[in-house]
Amino acid sequence: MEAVLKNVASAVELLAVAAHTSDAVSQWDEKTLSRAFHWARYCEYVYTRFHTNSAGRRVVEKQLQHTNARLRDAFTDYREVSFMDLPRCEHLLLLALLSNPQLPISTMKILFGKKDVTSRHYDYKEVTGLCSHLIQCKSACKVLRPFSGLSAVGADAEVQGEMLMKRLDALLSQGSDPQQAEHFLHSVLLLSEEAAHHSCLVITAALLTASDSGTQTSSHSFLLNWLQKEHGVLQHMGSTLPSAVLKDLARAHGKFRDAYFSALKKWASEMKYSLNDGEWLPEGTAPSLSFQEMVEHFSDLFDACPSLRRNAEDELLALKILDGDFDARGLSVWGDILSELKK
Amino acid sequence: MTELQQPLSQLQETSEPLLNAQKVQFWLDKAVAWDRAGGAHAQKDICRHLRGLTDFLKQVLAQISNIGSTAETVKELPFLGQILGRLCWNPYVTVGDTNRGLLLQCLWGLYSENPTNAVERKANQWIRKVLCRLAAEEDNPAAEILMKNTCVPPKEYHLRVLKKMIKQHQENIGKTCCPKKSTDPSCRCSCDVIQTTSEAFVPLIDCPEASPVICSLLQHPGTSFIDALSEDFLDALNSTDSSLALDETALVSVWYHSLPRLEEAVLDLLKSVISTGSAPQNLEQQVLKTQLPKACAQHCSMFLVVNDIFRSILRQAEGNLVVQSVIQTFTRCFLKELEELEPRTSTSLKAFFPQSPPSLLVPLLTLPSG
Repeated sequence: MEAVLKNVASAVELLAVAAHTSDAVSQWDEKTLSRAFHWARYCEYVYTRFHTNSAGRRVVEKQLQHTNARLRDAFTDYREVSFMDLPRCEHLLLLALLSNPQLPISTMKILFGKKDVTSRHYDYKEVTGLCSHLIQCKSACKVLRPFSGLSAVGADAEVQGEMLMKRLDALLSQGSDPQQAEHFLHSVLLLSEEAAHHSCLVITAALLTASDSGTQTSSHSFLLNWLQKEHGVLQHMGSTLPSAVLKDLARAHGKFRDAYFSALKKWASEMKYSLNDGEWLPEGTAPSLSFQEMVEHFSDLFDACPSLRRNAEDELLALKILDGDFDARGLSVWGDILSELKK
Repeated sequence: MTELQQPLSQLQETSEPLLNAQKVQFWLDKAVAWDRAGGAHAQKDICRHLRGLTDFLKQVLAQISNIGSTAETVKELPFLGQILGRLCWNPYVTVGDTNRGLLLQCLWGLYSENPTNAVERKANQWIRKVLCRLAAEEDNPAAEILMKNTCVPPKEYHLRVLKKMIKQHQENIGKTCCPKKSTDPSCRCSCDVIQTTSEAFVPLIDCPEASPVICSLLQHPGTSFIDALSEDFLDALNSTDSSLALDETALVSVWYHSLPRLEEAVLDLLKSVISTGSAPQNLEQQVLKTQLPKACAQHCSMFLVVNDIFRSILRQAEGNLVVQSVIQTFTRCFLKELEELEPRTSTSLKAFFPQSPPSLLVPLLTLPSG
């Protein structure tokens, strides 16, 4: 353990030197560069080894605090390195070097050079072409993004959903405070108007990741509980996601099916009949779904979950009776929904 | 068929003509227009011009080397910085190895190791800034936040997204099935998929991660019988400098669609035998390894092209024993492959040798026994 702590301290120091605009970096050649990235890779290994081991993690964190304090005194504008930064050390090193005007141009050329053409797969340990490959991947994603119709939610959301689930699994399996997991969800699932749609896609992808372990099932459950509390998100999902996706979600998760059904009932209850338009219109906080769309949502839900249908129809009938059991159109949204569903 | 007047000198480099103001203005206008239109809308136009852009960038690079000083280059080509800058932010340009490599070389060419004036110092700063932003900037705030909170580095994230996109395209191609007869009306939708996908992958022809889709497109049964591949895709395939990592079926498909590629493969074989001086026992292995005999046995049209190349070379390299032995070995391998083909798929010998009287063919092509 002592050796590990010493190595972590050295790696963090190296990162500080890389960022600092002194003569040290101006001496960096390919060998130094290679070694530096090797150290950054070591930090990733330390994270992988200790992130589920809380005792080990605490020891590493203590070392990091100590090293940060020392480096804060030695370097101006020092950026502290936390335990959570360790798996991204390679990227932090790259950022530090690229922003450092002292980095020799010959060394920079190595990073942007052509990667080894004899090897089909990018060799992680090799620094040649590191930036070139990154630019290529980012560009390729941008070029292919307009063709994202091949997947219900898009490749970005799918990968982000996987990342979200993996982190959630880790947080929940560590036995840490559930508030930490909730805080994580709040931090990453941006709910501003612009970001809401994308967040819905990520949540959908996360819920549809194959659940083949107990950990993932409880993570799905946690996410669904969180979703039920975030009415705005569920509302957005219900009103913007394609029906095929909503059906998949309802089929995969009983909790989603029930939450979605409750949400649909709530939105339907807020509709008001307009005599002028001869139609039920959404009002208040309900999403702007037309009556026909509302009926389609109920119909799709019952298609996806036949077990729900009978009880649900009984429930809607009970609501219609409460409204006065009228058959004429426009008097009870429940009656009108039921008669559309029977068609 | 292309006229092969001097096949072995085909690969000689010719010096690039210098840039003129008109050419520079053309590419400046293009770079600005592509920027303004935004990626997807300008896609077709960009794809059409990628090859021309490669030539232009080669000329720029030559000019920068000729001039030798950044300050002088900026004086002579005042819009160069703007052009290069805009192209750096165009993913259709930076996705392919060739154009990205040339763009970077142009930037290195403009970098002064020991700047002596303000222009050179400013150019240096700009180049470092552009490179830093290209590698480090994330344009998706949601993804960036998630990366930080899930400890996933950008390199891993973008590679995963790309691999997923590639896989989805492959699955999409795999889902389509195209019967061999082109008159079958149900062929239409799968041809649309092949057409659209090949169009989308034009800028990725020399992006190694894209090779599974390129192979799938080339191997798809439909593409042998119906020209579903986009013209721009075939053009890009013809003109890319980089070697594509293709398996046997895809390679044969490339030759089927691209005459220059087939010619190049034949010339490469001759060059490698002549330069390495293969021992006779290794020659057969070398020839078989190229897949040319097999490809020619499967496709008569390919054989006719290869045959013409050999005839032309024999005429020029008269008496060259190495060339003769390559051709003899090739013929032997070709005949063996032809024999091994299923009888119903093999074409009659007359189709392969239309000029020769049939009575001569059989004895001439019979290998001596023993």
